[in-house]
Amino acid sequence: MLNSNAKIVRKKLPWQELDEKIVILSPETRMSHELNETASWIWKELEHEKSFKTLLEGLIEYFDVDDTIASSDLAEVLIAMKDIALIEIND
Amino acid sequence: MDFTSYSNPSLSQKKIDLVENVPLECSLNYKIHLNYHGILVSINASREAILKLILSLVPTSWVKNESSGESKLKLSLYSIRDFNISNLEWENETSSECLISSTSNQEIAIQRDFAGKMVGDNVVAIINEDIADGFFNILRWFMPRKLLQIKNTVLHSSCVVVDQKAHFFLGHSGYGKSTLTTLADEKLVLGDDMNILFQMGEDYYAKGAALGGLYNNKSILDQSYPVGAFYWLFKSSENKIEKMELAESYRKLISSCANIFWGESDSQTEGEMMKLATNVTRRYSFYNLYFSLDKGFWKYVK
Repeated sequence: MLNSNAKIVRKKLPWQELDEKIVILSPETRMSHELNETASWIWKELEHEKSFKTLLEGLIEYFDVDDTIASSDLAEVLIAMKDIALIEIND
Repeated sequence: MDFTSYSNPSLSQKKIDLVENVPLECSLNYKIHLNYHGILVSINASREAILKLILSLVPTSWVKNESSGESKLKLSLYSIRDFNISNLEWENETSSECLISSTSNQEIAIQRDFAGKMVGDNVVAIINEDIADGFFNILRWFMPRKLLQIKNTVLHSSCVVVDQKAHFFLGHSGYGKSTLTTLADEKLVLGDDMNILFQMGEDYYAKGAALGGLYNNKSILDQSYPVGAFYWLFKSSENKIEKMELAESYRKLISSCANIFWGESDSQTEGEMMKLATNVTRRYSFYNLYFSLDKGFWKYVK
C-alpha cells in the first residue's frame, strides 16, 4: 500500500490520446505503451503532481467505486506504471 | 560506447579512433551530387571505385553533374584501403548492430561494415567499396532523420503495389517482410526492407527508400503510389486478417519508423512524427495479417 501523502509525478514523455486510449512512447526503453481506461485517467490527472490521497479521491468520484477496492487498485496500477518508467512515486 | 554486444571490441575501438581522426571538411578527388529523395547530397570519395559502387545503386536521374546551389548534406567517403585495412580485418565482427555515440555536437556510429562521424550536415565515413552493404548502412544510420526533416518518413517495411495502391507490410526483423515479397509473383515490389511514406496534397504516398534491401530495379525508385493499407505480419500456417484498433495501429506505425531515436530527437521532430502517425492511422486501415507460403493471403490485400 502506498503512503497517502506520496507524491505521484508523471514523467515527461511523448504521448497521444486515441479514441480515449493513451499511447505513451518511452525513449529509455524504446517501447510504446497503451494504457487501459484506469491508467489513461491517471495519466491525464497527473498533468500536475498529485498525492496518492488526492488521486484516490478523484478516482472514487470518477469511477464511482468502493473506497477499499479503489485504493488497492490504484496502488497496483501506479506501481505498474512506475515499473515501466512512466511515473515516479516519491514517498 | 557500449561494446557488450560486439564480439571484437578492439576492432570497434580502432574504427572509432580512425573515424575520429578523419577531418570532416575535406576535398577528395572523386565527386558526385545526388538528389536523394529531395535532399541534395554532395559526395566526396577518396577512390573512383566508391563512386562506381554508388552509381550502380541509384537511378541515373538522381545524379546531378553540378551542385545546384548549396548542398544540403556533405558526405565524404574513405576506403578501408586508405588505411591499409583488409576486407577480412574490417568485417571481423559477428554482430550486425549499429552502435551510436552522441555528444552535443557530434555523433559517431560504427557497424560491421562502416565507421562514420556526423556533425550537423557533414558526414564522413570509412567503408569497404567492394560491397554495397556498407554504403547502405551509412545511409540507414543518418538518412531517416534527415528525410524526416522534409516530411519523408522511412518505414522499416516491405511495400507491394496491388491495384495501383501501395501496401505496407510491417513487422520486427524475422516477421516475414522479405519473405512476403518473394511471394508477390508479378506484383511490383517497391522495397523489401525500407520504404518511404510521404504526403502530397491530402493523400499519402509510398516509394522505395534505396537504403538497402532488395528492389526489382533502380527505375522504380522514381515511382510513387498512393497508400492502400498497412499490415503487421505474422508467419502462420493459415491465412487470416484482423483489423487493428486505432491505438494499436498508432503503436505499430511508430515502432516501424526506422532509426528515429525518441528522446534524442528534438521535440519538434517528435511532434511532427506523432502528428503524422495520428493522421495516417486515422486515415488508413491497419490489419494484423497472418500469412502462409501458399500465397492465399493476397486476397486480403486490397
